[in-house]
Amino acid sequence: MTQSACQYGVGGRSLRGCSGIAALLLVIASTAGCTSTGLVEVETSFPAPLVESLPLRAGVFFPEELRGFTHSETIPQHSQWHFELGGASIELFNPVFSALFDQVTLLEQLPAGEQAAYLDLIVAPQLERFEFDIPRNRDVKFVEVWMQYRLYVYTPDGTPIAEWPVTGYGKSPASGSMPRNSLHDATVRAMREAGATISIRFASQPDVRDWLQEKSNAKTIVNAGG
Amino acid sequence: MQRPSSMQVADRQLQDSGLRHARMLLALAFIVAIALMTSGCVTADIEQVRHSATGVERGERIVILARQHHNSHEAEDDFMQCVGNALERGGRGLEIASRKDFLNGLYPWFEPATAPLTAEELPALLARPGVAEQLTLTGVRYVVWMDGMTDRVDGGGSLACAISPAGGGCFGLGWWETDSKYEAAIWDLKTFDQAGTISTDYTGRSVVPAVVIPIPFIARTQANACRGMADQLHEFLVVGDAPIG
Repeated sequence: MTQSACQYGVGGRSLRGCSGIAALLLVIASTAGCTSTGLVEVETSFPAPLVESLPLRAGVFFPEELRGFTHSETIPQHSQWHFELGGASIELFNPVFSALFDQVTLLEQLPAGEQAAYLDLIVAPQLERFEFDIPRNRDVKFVEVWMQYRLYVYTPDGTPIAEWPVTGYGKSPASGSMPRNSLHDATVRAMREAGATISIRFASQPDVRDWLQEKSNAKTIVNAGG
Repeated sequence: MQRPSSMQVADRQLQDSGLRHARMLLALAFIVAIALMTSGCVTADIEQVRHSATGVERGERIVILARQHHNSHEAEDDFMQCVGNALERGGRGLEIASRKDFLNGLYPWFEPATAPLTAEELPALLARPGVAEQLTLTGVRYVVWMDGMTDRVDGGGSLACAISPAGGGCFGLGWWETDSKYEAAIWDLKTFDQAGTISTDYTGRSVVPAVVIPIPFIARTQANACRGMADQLHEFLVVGDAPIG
């Protein structure tokens, strides 16, 4: 259609106009139906929690699924997002577990083998679910992120002690139609909340509490026996 | 019928052109007058409630934190930065502690889900191992909890712009109303109580009239709220022997 309009044009002026129209049509054609793509690579350091450490020697194992965790999601007719959360999760858990336990040993594999002999328990976190939402109308002013970790706690010989789902929620004021920084900020807030929950409530989880109680009783009996 | 001569046509065109210019100027004057009458005005409502005497001694600092547990609103980072900067300025400037350092140093006790909601919870928090020592290290005596936000509450009018190879321009009148509503609760970490609250509410109408070129008249409610809040906070904290009530 553009070409035929050009053919009927008179002189160079019309041809210049046609090339402008063609360029405009090309831009419209190339962008029509497309969604923008955003990458949120969470890169930040997390503080060590100010909590009293438990008198335990813990082995911490970060599974490959956690180390390389990514999440991709398309919001229909709006945008496509890709999150990289593995590195940040390790950055979150390292200071949390270091503050939570008296001694921490990073484990390369499970079962822990010879290293297990020097441990009281093993903790292996997983990132199970990650969800987010961005404003699609004027009334909503925040991006929101919700995530769920699951902490697997074992004895050194691999007997399960507890399996604890820990959630984190974060929101951040949205800016623009591709709120990459807001999503980053909300994700960091959600991770901080999950870290806060673990560092404050780990010892009071019913299964962990019972195990700690049993361990304490056993120690008392051993000490009393001689 | 007699056809008009070329001179008459030229005269008519000149008259039409002059008339168009006059009409455009009249419209511009009318729109600008409406804009001036309705914009630039920011109305303020400030309230201060004092529960106990305050005062800032040498070395004592203030930290300004946002209340984050509401789903609908949260004080903007730049607003809190603005209030902090305003409090720091001047000969009698106050020492403002870094929000990030405070939150990281006291992690996880001031996160949205764990932060104390009332000053009555402070003694229990400070009794936790290491918390009181860390607070002493920060040098913070007052925590200012900032709540609220700036919101666009109303708007209307019509502003249309067009562009063509011959040029472009806009015509019409657009307006919107913003409300900057904030409340600061001041906690004294020395006495473990809420020393008082300051609330500011600034509303204003912004107008953009346009005859070819849009001329914005922006009501800067957030900037005004920042100044108002900072003045009130300074007075509240420094003039600590003000009558209570």
